[in-house]
Amino acid sequence: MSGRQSWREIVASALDWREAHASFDAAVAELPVALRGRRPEGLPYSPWELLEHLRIAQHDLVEFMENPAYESPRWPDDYWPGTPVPPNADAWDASVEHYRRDRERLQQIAIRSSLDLTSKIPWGNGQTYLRTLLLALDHTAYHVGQLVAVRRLLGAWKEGA
Amino acid sequence: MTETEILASELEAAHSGEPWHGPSCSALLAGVTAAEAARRPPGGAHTIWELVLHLTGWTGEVAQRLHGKSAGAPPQGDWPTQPRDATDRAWADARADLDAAHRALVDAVHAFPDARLGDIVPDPRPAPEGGSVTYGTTIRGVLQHLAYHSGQMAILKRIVSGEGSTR
Repeated sequence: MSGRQSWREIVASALDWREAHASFDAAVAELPVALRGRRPEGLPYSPWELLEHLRIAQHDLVEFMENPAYESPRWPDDYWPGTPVPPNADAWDASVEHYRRDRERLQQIAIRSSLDLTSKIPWGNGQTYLRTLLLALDHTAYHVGQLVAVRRLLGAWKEGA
Repeated sequence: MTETEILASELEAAHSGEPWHGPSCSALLAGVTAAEAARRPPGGAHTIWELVLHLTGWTGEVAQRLHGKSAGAPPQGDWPTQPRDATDRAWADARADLDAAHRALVDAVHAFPDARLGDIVPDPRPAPEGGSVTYGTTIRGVLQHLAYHSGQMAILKRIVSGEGSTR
């Protein structure tokens, strides 16, 4: 790395960057249970579907970087839950916690001093750790933005959250 | 590629290329009419037009930080008001302003020394806005900001026109 701030610092801090838009944690907070499985009129997904997509996609990227034997789900069907509504009362919180555990794993990968982030993942098809981490960041931002938009459409978003 | 070259390349992709996470901002805005851009969705959500003005302001703000300006809100405000008359000309101008702001940011990133990416951006604002944010994190932040609002544009486009990929 030529700069004083290496990629690992940029990525690790970007995982927690929140100057100009809502974070994942804000986007999933205090959403009434009755609205978690509701699709706004004209849209193909509910908050639950977006949350699960965020969790599944992030988990896929973490496992891809960490587990040589990992096999990705089938795209796109297996990256989305089967129904708009959470299957049970605990599913929302469990999904949020799973997402947070994997986000912590992403941060640990980003700061692992033994790992050259610009190196290729040995079992990949040319992807680097850096590219995969940056994809995780941007994919999360894209769908967190959608989750906030869906909450607005459902009348369940507090400005400034 | 150097760090700034990679960041500039990511910016190009997110604005008008093929980003890894979904459609680019330009692809999402393609075909959106002035009337659709100005149409207020249910729930008081921002319009597509407002998102474009917001992105233009923050893109320009980050470019100015790279040129030495202290961190702050964009001069036109966080959420500029869209024009009362949603003319095709005004919408084209708003799109052109976003493109120009993007180009200026990419140029600023290209010109920014890699060795300074870890420097802290001067920020006189009190917390929570102010803080110890580096130039590198700021540039990554504007990329995530663009992805965040691109995701919202995909939703809004579907709502106001009944078209567009949302995934």
